[in-house]
Amino acid sequence: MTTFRERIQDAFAEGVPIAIDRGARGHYEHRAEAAAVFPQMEPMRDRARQIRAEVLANLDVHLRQFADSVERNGGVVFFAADAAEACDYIVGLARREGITRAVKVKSMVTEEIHLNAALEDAGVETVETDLGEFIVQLAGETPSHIIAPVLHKNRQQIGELFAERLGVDYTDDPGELNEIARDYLRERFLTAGMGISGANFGVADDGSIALVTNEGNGRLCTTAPRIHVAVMGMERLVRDRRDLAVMLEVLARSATGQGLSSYTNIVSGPRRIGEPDGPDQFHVVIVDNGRSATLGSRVAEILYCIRCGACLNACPVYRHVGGHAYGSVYPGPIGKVLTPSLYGLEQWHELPATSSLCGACQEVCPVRIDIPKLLVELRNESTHELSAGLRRGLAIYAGVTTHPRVFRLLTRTAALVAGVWSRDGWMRRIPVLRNWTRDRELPAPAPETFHDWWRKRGA
Amino acid sequence: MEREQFLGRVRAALRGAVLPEATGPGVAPSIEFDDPVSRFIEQATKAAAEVTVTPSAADAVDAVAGILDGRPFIAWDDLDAVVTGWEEVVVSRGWERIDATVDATTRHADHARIGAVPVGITSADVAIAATGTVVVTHGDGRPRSASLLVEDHIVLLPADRIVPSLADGFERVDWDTSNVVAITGPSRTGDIESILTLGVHGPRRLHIVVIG
Repeated sequence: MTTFRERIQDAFAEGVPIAIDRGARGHYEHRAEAAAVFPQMEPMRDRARQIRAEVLANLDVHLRQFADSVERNGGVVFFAADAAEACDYIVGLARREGITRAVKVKSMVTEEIHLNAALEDAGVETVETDLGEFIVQLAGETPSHIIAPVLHKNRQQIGELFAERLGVDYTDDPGELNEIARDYLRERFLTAGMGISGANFGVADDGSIALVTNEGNGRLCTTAPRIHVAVMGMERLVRDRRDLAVMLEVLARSATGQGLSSYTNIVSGPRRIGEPDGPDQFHVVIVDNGRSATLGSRVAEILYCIRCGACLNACPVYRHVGGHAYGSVYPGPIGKVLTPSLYGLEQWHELPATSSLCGACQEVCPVRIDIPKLLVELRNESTHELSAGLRRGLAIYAGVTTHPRVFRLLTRTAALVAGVWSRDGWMRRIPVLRNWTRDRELPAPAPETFHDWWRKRGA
Repeated sequence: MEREQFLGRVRAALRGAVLPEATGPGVAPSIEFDDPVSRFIEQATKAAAEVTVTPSAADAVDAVAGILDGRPFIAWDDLDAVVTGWEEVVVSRGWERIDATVDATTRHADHARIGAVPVGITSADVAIAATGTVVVTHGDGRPRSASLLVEDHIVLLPADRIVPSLADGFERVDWDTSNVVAITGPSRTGDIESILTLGVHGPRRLHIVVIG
């Protein structure tokens, strides 16, 4: 695997940060406007947070109730311990039913379990139908944002991609690109045997799932194919429709600044007798894949997340480096906590460190997750993995700062020595801290230390 | 994994879980408007729906005919309950209503046929003033395609069905169905450089005819 540093350099080489910053900033501003014109925003966020805490505190009870309700509606429930079990179930179903083409609604949990690859390996053509995700799939890439997967591309790049992969004339007009995708995908919607979605929420007491989209692909995928499979992270439940309404009040506002997205689609099982259309089969795959371990850990609060993407848009680090730099399915502040807690801190110890703990994420989070605190928890946990050299260095630093005389002597000396490495008031290269100054520069220290200045001033 | 084993794992995890709660009132704040109908029209228009307000059912038929303009259409079976006699008026002009029933054995062919129909007419059991949303309940005699596969979706909405909030709306909906959709404006995307584009996969235009 590449390092965080290498991925950032790749992103800068491709000019990604400019596109990301523009897109994320726009979403951020839209959210702020939506919050400003919705007087109930703050108490609604409080209630939304409570709802998440309440449902998670009795998650086993609600999961059982949800599964029973889905079955009562004529659906089938599968509990998947991990990604492999989830994929095996869906691939097995496709094989059994003779499915050769599946259409998909954009879903982070299906990205997480790498479902597309599993289906393609089994000979099932799997087509992403969210416009952004479709573009990402054509390019052979991964999404760079939870709700705006192709934030990292400009329209010229998309136009070139369409011309190359779909054999159409080049255009960079968003309306024309949209028409090309509409025609291409409409035919696939109407001929696919399986529609695969995620679930923004599952409603425990009536077994329905809510799917929020703007394009309408969520409705097409869950209406036209004869089999609908919904893949849901096990934490995504609400107790009832009353709680669902609260979550919907904050979801779209936080994500795109809309009061509601164009389509809030509530699916309660397969087509019923007498109904003129809809799928014949409805399956819900409930995925653990590391979530129960997270639930039992000190960062369980991250499971409150409803995947709106607001923290990405607010994050100064995300805006600078883009989603791909994180190297994980979930980018941004949410990804820095979720990824190490789902997949192990040892492999992902870099991520919690990529934050200034500025708190912009918590400020916009619809369920007020204390992301900075969770990042510190993870950093604390990973301190034992610090190199011996760094630990020795920190021990020396601790010794110096707790002995005033030594501290004064050293800062005076440092000010003199540092002057040698300074140019125009900045230190850009410090030989003994070569790695540290590779990406950072420091203002040159003042010729006089603060202590000396203070003493003189007092005299 | 077996259900009991899965749930057992969750239960075990919950014993050590740290789940901080917000301190709050324990209930959702209520949403109210002095004039819900005006608020609905304002918000639906803002969401790019085309709203027509008609004083009577007869005017609503004219509005529907104006949008249809001779094109074939799909419609729900129970629209007479909203606008009595609307279909006779339209059909008497020779405009064709297409059956939208999908047979399980001819699914793809049926979808191809229905997918070519340009207009769909539905009602909405309830509408939300806060966001300009129509809540469309599909079911017996109420094909999903009428609000999904068409280019123009027409919603017949008696004004007294407009309630302040989504929570109010959810209480009024008859949930004995496989599919309820809260629709706010036409299909849209901002996926390409955050530039708003209408009509991605669903209807390009949403017409709401408010009656009374």
